[in-house]
Amino acid sequence: MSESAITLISFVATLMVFSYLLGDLPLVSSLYRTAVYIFIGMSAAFTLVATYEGVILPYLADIQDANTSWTALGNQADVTIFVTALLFGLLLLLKPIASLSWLTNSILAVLIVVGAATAVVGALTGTLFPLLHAITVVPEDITADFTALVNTVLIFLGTMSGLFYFQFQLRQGDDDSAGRSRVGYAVRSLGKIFVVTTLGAIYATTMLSMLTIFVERVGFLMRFGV
Amino acid sequence: MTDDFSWLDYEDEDTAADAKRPSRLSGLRRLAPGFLRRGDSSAAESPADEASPGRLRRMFGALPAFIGRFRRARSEVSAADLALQRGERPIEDLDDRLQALRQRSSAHPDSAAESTGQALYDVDDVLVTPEIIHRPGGVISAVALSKAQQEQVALLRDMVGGSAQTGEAEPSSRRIFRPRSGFSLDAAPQLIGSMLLLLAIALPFVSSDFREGELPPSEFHEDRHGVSTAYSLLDNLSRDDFVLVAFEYGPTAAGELDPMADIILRHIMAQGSTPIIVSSNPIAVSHARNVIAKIERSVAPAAISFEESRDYYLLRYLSGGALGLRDLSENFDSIIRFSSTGKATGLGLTSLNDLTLMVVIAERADAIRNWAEQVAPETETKLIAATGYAAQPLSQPYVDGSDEIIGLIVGIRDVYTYGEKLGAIYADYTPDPGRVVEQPTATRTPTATATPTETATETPAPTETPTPTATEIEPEALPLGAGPATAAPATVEATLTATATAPPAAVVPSATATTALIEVIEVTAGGLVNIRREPNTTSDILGVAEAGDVFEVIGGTDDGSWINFLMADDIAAWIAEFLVDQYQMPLDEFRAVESASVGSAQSVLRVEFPLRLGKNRPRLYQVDPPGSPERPEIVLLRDRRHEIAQLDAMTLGAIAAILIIVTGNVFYAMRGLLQRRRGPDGQ
Repeated sequence: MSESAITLISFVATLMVFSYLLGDLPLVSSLYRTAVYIFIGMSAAFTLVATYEGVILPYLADIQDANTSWTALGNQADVTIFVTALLFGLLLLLKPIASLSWLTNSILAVLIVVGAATAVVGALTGTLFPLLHAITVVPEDITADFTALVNTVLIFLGTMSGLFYFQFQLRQGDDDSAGRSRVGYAVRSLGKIFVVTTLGAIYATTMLSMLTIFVERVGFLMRFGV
Repeated sequence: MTDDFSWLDYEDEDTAADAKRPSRLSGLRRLAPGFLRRGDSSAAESPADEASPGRLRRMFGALPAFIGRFRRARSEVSAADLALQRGERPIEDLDDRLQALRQRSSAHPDSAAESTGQALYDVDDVLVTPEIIHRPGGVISAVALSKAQQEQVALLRDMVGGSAQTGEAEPSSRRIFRPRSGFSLDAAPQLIGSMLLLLAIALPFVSSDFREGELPPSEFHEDRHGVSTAYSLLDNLSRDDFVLVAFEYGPTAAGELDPMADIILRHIMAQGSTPIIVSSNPIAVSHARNVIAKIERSVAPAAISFEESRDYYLLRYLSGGALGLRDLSENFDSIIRFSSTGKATGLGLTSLNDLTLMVVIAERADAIRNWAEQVAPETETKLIAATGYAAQPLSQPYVDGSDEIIGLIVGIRDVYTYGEKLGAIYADYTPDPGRVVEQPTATRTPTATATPTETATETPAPTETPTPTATEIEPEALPLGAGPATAAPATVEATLTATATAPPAAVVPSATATTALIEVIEVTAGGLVNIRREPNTTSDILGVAEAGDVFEVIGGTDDGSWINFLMADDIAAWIAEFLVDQYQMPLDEFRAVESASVGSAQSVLRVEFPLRLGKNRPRLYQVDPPGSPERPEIVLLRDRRHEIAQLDAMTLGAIAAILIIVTGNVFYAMRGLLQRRRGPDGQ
């Protein structure tokens, strides 16, 4: 497809999406929905193609390359992985059958457990340890690196009070009433400040991102045909 | 926040009380009636429970018997059940805000809180739900809701107390929403705001007169070490290098991240390096192909064309999110064997350590987190992170907390600065459409060496001026054995530039010779020795020196084990005492030595911290980039015509958005006040 045709389609699709600004009038809302449906449909279709070409085909190619010697160790491993993946995939299709859905649940359990284990290991080595390192390392020369010290203290306070903020455990008093200490309340209040500040920053930067994308599209429309 | 969850404290009342006041049931029990039993454990074994196996079956399918036993035991020790046994907190124990909320709810006895249909009891006392006005239309207008969807909508409405507020009867049958037939004035504020924003954004594209604010600087701010480092790492790439570029964004973020991907890919390819593109998002793989196609179209006038599996690689997408990334880090040799279309790539890399660099361009902080968690810990190769504004706050800690992750390059303002830096380095190159440049540096070096000679001979005054040292400096003589091959020409340029402007300064000292002595050190150790920021071996390496280099001493540690001296550009640094000889030298002689060894002195590599670009190729990164592109046209032919207009539009758009938000809030606040003054009957 020529570049001009692609540009024209992009132009029309952008206008269709922007028609949402005009509200829910029958015609314009149809245009918006049509653009969104096209986008979602094409994304789903491309995902299917990409999965076939990028995930399934390589396994088939591996097996095909070594099909002359099934006893070859590498080939056995490839075939085993492929057959296992295929079996798991087929079992997922049994979900609608109530009497066999436990098979699907079992496969999902494996996926979830493996995914959770991977995530936990990654979170430890990639997030928690570096974060702990960042909040516990004090500069050798505090006077020379005062900014770093302040940052470290802020990160420590923010992390700890933020974690404390999401703590809902109650303390049982002598009169069997539930309550919390004033210190805990103060720490949670500090955590609330950090959380709200963080959310505010995220909201502001998200708006900035959206504005950037909006500007790019408006610029594209303005330049169209020039 | 904890007070917001005070509904946890409510007492779990007995069955008789429940019958009398069913709305006082615990919110937790209403949320998960299948799990939360009464406070006494015997309830879990009640006949009613045994008589309803269908609930379990619906939730879990056909489960083995031991699961049921587990569930029964769970209800006995549930923390939630323990919480339910707590007594109701007296109202006077609540803080002022919650007491006010309680009073307000008491003032409306018919509120939805008393409805038995409430799924979250008392939550609507805390979370003040806006009035839900049912009006056909909206984004999902004309969508036919299935029965299950209608039930979900009803449940959601119950949860937020919407149905009681609207007082609208629930539809008993399938209903089709139809869009409105005409324009409503209710939509006018949104439309006006949108149009104002659109106008503010469009104006800079019409005329350059509509400009507000300043453009981003041409250099990254000195406090932003990470971005400068990222830039320099990319600028130190050479022909043999492979760079893994992760496209972790789709078309929806293309407006923000495409320029970033564009300039990073151009930079990599202009250096002669090869990008290997990968993604855990299948759409992003396709999008990356479009970005490369766009670059190729822009450089077509210079007769430059790209070929997949030669100039770049597009790997198959990594399915499974974090699992896919873990697969990449552990089975890299397997992953890179196939392209996105299932064809063999022919790449012979065996691990991530064989890469020179990794770059992640991500739309969301989750992607940065996944790469930081699943890939970065598994390799010694540095990871450069680049994101949009939205992902910056949550991505920054990963950059700050790890020496392995460099960055953060953020948004179009950084892209502008990046382009300015590249433009300054490549300014000597003139794009010549139709000219294929094989070795641009080869034609450049002789020109550079000729310049100082001419300048020196034309200098009239000091006839005893020594022969300009520039002619003595050959690229081969530079101590860059451990550095990238491309570094030599750039260093020559830097040296010659300094020398070309130096002759008068170099001559004057000899004419005004001084006998003042200064303390100097001369490197005596063989090979390259480290120069550090602080007097300890764990400090950042600022650069390297070799035997014969002479520097001016400015101090030292008390025990004399470390010496403080001035590097080129008067940068203070430290070196271990046993590596050098310390003695005094006349100032003029020192200047002459410095002049003679200017090549060595200025070619000292300065780094913020020691870096290894690839496991098998230890290298030091230069603050002063070599800037020796293989194909400069790839960078120079980048279309930057609309960058400034885009930045101006961003500024005006942000101002307009803030004004619209403030105006809107003031408008609605005033309207609310007026309505309150008039009273509920409108009088």
